[in-house]
Amino acid sequence: MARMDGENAVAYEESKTSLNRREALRLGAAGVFALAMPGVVTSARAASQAGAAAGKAGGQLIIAASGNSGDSLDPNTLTYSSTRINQICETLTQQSTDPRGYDFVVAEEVTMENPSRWVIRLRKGITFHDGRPVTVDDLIYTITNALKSPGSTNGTLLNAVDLAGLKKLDERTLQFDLKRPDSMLDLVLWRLFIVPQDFDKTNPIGTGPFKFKSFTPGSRSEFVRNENYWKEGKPLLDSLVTLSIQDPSAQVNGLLAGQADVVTRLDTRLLALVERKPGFQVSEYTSSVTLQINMNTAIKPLGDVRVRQALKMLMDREAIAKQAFSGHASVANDVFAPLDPYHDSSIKPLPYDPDKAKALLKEADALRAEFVIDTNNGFPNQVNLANVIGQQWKAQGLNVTVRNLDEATFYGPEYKTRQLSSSYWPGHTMSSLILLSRLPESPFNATGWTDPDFTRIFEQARAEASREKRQELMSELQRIEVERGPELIPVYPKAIDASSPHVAGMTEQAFTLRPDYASLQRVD
Amino acid sequence: MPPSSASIDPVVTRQAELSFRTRLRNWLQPRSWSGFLVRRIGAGAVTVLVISLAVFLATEILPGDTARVILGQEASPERVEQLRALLHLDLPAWERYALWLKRAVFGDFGTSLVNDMTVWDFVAHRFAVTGILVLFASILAYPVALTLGVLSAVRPGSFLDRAVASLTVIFGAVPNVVTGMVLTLLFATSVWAVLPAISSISPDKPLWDQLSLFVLPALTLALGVVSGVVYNARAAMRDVMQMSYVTSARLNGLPESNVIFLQALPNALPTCIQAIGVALADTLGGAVVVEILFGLPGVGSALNQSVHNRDIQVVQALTVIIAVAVVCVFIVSDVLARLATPRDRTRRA
Repeated sequence: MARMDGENAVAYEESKTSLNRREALRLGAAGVFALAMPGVVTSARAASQAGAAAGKAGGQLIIAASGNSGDSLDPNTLTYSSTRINQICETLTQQSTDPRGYDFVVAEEVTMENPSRWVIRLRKGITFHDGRPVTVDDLIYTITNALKSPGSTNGTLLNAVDLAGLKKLDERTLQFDLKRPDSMLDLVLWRLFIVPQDFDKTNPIGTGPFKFKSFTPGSRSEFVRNENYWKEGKPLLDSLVTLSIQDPSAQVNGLLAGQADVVTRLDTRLLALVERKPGFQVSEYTSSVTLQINMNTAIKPLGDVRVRQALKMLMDREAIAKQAFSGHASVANDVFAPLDPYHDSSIKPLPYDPDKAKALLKEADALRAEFVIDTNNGFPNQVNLANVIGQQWKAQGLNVTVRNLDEATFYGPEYKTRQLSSSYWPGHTMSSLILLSRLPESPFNATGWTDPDFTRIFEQARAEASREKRQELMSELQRIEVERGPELIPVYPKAIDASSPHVAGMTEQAFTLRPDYASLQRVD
Repeated sequence: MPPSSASIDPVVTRQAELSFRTRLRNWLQPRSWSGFLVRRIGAGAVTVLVISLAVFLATEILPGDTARVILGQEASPERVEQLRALLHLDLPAWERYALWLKRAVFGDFGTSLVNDMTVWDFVAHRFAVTGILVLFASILAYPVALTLGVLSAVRPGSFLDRAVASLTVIFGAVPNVVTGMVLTLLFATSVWAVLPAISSISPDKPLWDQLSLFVLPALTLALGVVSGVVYNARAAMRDVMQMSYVTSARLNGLPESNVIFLQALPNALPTCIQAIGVALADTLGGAVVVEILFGLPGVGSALNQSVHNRDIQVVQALTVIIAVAVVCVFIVSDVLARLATPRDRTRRA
């Protein structure tokens, strides 16, 4: 995390107050402009000064983030764009560098009695924004809602949960008797936002650091401090405003001009603009996002494992990190969910070896095959990734076409029939992604790939009580992914957040790609 | 009671019918004010209807599935089907259009498919934002454009004329997005940080208290449309200045200011008014780019987002309302142009 040190802060303050000749000229010109439109400019400055004055008493920070008219506060239909809901609601646990993989939030304890029985104990003293304590009944409602709500993205991940097997042991303790073993259920809890039984997404209530005040989809939200927040002394701000700004350049312009204080998921192409400005801070971290190219094994010649291996061996991963992500990515091994506690970074990807790759393609009679990569602008640099991989393959003599489609077209009826398609998985664990995309019954399998060994080992891992043995099984799955899996994941992109000089406390939550809102502080 | 003899007299009835038809025909005469207005409004209504149908067909033809876009790539096919049924996306297209048209006639544009707000609630504030943007841009653009056009016309070949011609070409050729970026660099981020770079509207304050947020978007928009008005104003004024009655006025010794402003300008006004009408329609179109560039939550950015989300209800409503606004602008400019034309103004059927 980058913080502004004292020296930088002083330099910034001096730069705001000192007046050299060049700035005097600028001010002169600005004065002429101000004279031309006195009311307008005066009101802009007055608004800015009023904001600064208010900031001293806890203040307000403004976050500029991607968003559009489809912005939602429904915790069950969210994908990765959880910027706002994380300000209002909290999960039972959240990913961390702790050896078990997470810290407790609303939960005080999560215990696996055996792979078919889990017990969750809620933290004492946590209340919703309206003062009601969080109870097991709210937890049961949350789980039921996640399973049954139309459009819920969590239903598949909780497929082991049997609603009839939920047993309230006391006001703070819930026992889960599962319909099938799931020793990794605790990791799915990272995605489950705890809501009260009368949750209303138009006026949402949660346990988070900020309370709902206003929200206009595609435009703006303002949430105010939760005075009864369970973390002592937090949050540090009076209010937090989040702006939905479509254009990444506009986000950065807003940051540089002082209309926004924090920009999340900064486009790497705009990073230099922020770094040039004294005092502005940049935080770069490995996130939960995997950007990948799906190889559809149902379409020739990708059903042949030799072709998949060859395509993996034709990727120069270091070059992809540099060219597609301007160096803001680390080399990956074709395995998703880099923040998962079971992710085994000791497993190396297939080596970059064009000669061997071409030999494999020749053996599979696919040297002259036509490859089409479809991509979209859903995530920063997603199109770059497809283009750079396409260029590398073309340079090796492959017949490759890269098509950039709009998101609606990309996810249209032809989605499952695309030969090679780029997409992203945000905020998921490895077991979640396997449930979603790797098993015969997976609802979302863009690659059409299933492997009996893979499925068997995964079910063994789910039923395994021993953490060590489970890790061995999960590592075995990752080796299968590398050797014959259907996904190209050459790099893990870094997430970048930027903030203005008067922001402190930018502690990143890597799994959800956001700062810790409760720790954000205004320092001017 | 027996009917009166007058009411059953065929000659009287025929005369009354003829009289009514004649009156109606006269009333609808294109040259009469009533006929002019009825025809303009009728044509406008048909235009709006055709546009709504065209947009509906266009949104149907576009590939992509609204439910899938809303739910994203993580949604299971079962969830997608559930949402499709919930949104009535399973109904045939013509049924959805007929349903929509029936409601739209009564001002009910339905509910957004992606954010559950009624379309009116979603767009009402955005119309106010775009309204102020267009008004602000118009105040900046048209008086200046008319003045420059007239001054260029009365001094053809002068430095001013050549300078205006060059600037007109430059501003006409440079896309709004480039103009906006340059203005942002100059006045918001890099050279003089005196204006906001993004235009986030606070719901806690009236729009009129947040006018500073509109300066750069309005200036960008104004520079984009000013060229056409300058060009048309100059051409119209040049034509008038070359007419014999202007030469006669000068030969009669009228002061030049009198010749320009009282003799020539009134006859160039109809063309100028219609040029402004066309430019205003362009301004509404240009608002899409400018609002995205500055993060201004207006109708243009909403339309763009709604197309992206395949939010058909909002796309339909916004397009129809924008079409109505453009049709109204054209009708008003036609009326003003007619009022400014003495021959048309005083014409009787």
